[in-house]
Amino acid sequence: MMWMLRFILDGFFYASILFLISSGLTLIFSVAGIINLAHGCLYMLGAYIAATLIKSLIDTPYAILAFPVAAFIVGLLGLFIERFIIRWIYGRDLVYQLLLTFGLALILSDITRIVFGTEPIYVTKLYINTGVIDILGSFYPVYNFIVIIVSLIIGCLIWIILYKTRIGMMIRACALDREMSEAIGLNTGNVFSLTFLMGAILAGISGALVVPQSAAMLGIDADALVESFIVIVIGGVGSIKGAFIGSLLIGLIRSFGIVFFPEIELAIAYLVMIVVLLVRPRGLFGREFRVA
Amino acid sequence: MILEVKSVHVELNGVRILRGVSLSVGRGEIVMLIGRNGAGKTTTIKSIMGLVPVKSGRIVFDGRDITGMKTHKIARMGIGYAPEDRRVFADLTVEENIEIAIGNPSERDEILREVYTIFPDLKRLASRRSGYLSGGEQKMLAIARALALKPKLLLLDEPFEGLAPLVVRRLYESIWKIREKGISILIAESNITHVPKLADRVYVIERGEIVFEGSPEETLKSERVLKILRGY
Repeated sequence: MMWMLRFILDGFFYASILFLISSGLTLIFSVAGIINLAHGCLYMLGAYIAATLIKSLIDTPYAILAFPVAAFIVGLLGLFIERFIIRWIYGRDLVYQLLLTFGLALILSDITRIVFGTEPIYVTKLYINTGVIDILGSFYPVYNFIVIIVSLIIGCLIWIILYKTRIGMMIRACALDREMSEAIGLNTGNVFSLTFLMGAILAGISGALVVPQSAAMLGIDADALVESFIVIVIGGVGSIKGAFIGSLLIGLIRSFGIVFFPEIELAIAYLVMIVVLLVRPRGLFGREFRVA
Repeated sequence: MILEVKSVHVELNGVRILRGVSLSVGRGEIVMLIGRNGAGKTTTIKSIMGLVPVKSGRIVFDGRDITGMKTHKIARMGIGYAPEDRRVFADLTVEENIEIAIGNPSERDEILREVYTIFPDLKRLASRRSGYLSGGEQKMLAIARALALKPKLLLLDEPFEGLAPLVVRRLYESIWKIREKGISILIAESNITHVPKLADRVYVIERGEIVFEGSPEETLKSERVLKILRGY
């Protein structure tokens, strides 16, 4: 039974990372109606920035600052991208958004390559340093637990912001009807900027959190983007709850799939997505949505 | 005058929707803009809110030119808008729908109290998700939301459309209460029957032009107006 628990915990770990990435993606889509193909790159940048900082601070207690700093820098980048680039294509045809954000993704990955080089950056030392704990006779890395707990906390924070604050009320109103939100005096431009800031912070923090366990390397952006698309399609586009359930599902499929059917692990994720779409075309928690 | 629309032209997709519409609303006045479907009522209201681009002409509100201004700024200056299709935020509760339009959170309690005295039914429904309300309740909520802005002027687009007679009477009472507070109101309507109950002054719009202006009595007596509204 012990091995079982281990896979479940691994599944939760993957799910945590996936949840953070995909909730940012789904938030931006539901509010601004933008399918941000550069979201994976923000995640990758978060990983690189965190890896670089951790590497230079590894022997000091300040290494932990790498996580909020990476999230903050990526958040600012997201804000910048919204204010100066994406702002011009709201309400335009979907093709413009896809072309623009895909172009952005290419530019961002090139910038990442130029700034950080082509070699992966490993900071496994931090992962090892946090140690292991004994669960019913089997050792499990403490770091994975930290990530699971941190993402649960962040998930709660998102919920509180969206459903318990005035800002969250504005975000939800804008997601439902942008024009009407303007007409009751909301500066929807600012709400959109804020949403991008939040989404980018989520991408940045997830990239930073994944780094000690794996590595910062080129190409992780595409994997992250594809998997988070699977997650939000399963969960229902625009739904944070959906992103949570979808991540859990894909996280567990991945951790069990790697052991039992390693060749078709990703295929199973797609299969689940297809089944969900056949049964519930809008995803598990999806509702009708409009592109703003 | 709280609002002056001066020969406003609006073109959408190359079609001339408004051809020099001019109208005005005095302080504390209820003005009705009557016209058939497609005559340009909704576009007139949307052009005041900055929701459609004005090609030429000027819109002056409370002494300031608001032509081309951003919609949220126009709203904050004191124009409340309740659209024809209600457009309440379906996932938000009734109270959240009202709360969200309140500009200064410290006035929240006071404004909620005021809005609920005008629309007592909404108080009972405060925690209900607005998507579950009836059409009439949503109409009231749309107006209540516009009131939460503390407007000087209210724009109501077809507020009575599709309402049962009893609900219409309740809405009259609410509108009278709003006027007592000194808020000016511009109502777009396709139905002339509400004129005697509400209007201080009437404009008739046809094919994007104001074709008649007068008192309620003059409007109801005018053969020309009736002919325009009948369409023959």
